[in-house]
Amino acid sequence: MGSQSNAFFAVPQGRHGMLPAIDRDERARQEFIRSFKAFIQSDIVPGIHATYHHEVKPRHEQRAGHPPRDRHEIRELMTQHPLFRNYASLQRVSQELLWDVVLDSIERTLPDLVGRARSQGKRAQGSLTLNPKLSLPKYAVGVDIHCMPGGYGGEGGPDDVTAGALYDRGVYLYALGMMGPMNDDIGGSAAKFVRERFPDFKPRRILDLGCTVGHSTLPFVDAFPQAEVQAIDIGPSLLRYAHARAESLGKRVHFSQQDAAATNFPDGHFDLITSSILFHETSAKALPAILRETWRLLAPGGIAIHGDLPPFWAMDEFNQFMLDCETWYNNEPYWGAMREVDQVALSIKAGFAPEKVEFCMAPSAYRAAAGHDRSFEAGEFAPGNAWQVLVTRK
Amino acid sequence: MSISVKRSIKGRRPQFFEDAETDRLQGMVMAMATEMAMLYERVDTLERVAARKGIVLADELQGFEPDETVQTEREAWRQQFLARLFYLYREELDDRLAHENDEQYRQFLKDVAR
Repeated sequence: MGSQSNAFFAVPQGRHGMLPAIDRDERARQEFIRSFKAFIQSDIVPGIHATYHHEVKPRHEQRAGHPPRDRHEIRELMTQHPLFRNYASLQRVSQELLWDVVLDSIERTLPDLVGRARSQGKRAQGSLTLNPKLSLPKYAVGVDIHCMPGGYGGEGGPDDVTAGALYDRGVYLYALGMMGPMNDDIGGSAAKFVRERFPDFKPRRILDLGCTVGHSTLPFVDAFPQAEVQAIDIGPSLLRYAHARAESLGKRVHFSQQDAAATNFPDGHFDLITSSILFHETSAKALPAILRETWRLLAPGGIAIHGDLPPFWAMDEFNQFMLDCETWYNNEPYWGAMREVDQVALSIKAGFAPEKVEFCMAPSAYRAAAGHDRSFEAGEFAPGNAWQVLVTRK
Repeated sequence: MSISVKRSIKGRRPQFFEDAETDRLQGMVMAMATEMAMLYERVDTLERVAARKGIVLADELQGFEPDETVQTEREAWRQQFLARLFYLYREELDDRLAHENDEQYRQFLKDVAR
């Protein structure tokens, strides 16, 4: 059933000094789960789309005299269908097993990982500032987002780097080659977009919000080598790993543990502010606060660029429903609600002038370079050839 | 070093089938498939490496008698295997220990979207 144009690509993960060592059995399990996820997307998802369009929708039309009105009505119908239930269950199981098999290698080599993080920190060109007093936002730690055990705030003990190692390897497997060998395609595409769209723009200070392991931060270091780059997130274990990862790759980044809605940076401190797939993991209260903070932190003439998957208005109701499964089955509480929010209106409300706010598509830098071609087909994580970006200028 | 690694997922697990046993069964089948894939690779590697060296292992493998150490090691492996096979039971039990339920998750969605 999988169509040639939407195939997935076996891209080996890019090496750096913090990846957990995996033995042959761990590798075999991890690669199997990755294959399992690719199989669901390529061979099962198209069948679920067909089940709706050829069976569930016509049957409903016959009975009710109209097609299902919205994604909520589609959801009521589809959750009755045995094939859909099986599909949704397989997605959940693949996600649970993904983290579980990755944890094997981390648990087995944790003292080595902690040691490597410490020694990277000793010869650092960037920095790491943790704030144990920071109260972690409830939206980020109320459930383990995308079913990652321990979540973003996870901290198993002093010097722990588990959350970072788990995210880095897990997201590589999850993304099925769509984010490139370094998981950095969203940041890479956003940085490329800024350079091409604003060729004379020379940012002196850059801030990445919700940086997790800094994978999307580093393309900005490469794109703007003269700039000072700061990156913030809420999890201490994530940030220790991010710092060591960046250092091992020879990239200078200043990481600090802060809430993106209320940072300690002065007004107008940054020329360029970015975030990658952060918005859908926030909340209805936090998102406007983050946009207000972005406005406060930007210098006059500054630019902000935030990358995420497309909003619901950009796709049909069935794709909306399929994407919204993440809300219900993958511990992504704001995934669906965020896609209904008018980010342009929120940005204007946060202070940006209407003519300086736009929603556009940033072509995937990695997939263009690798010659991969995909169309958007909602299942789990299945972007097309571009990332949706919100661009606001002060 | 005292770092504890968490395996369970915070947030109530949804049920996909009429019967919760079917959900558990699907998890077990896929955990088994993962182990089968790993074993397939091991055997495949063994055969390929041996063949590359011109070694015929068949007779020796047939005549192999596990001693006590081997038996102990194999028992430990089987216990680890079973722990993964029953991972959903662990999730279920942990949810109950943490007093998590569907209503809490719904409330959390509302709070986050409000």
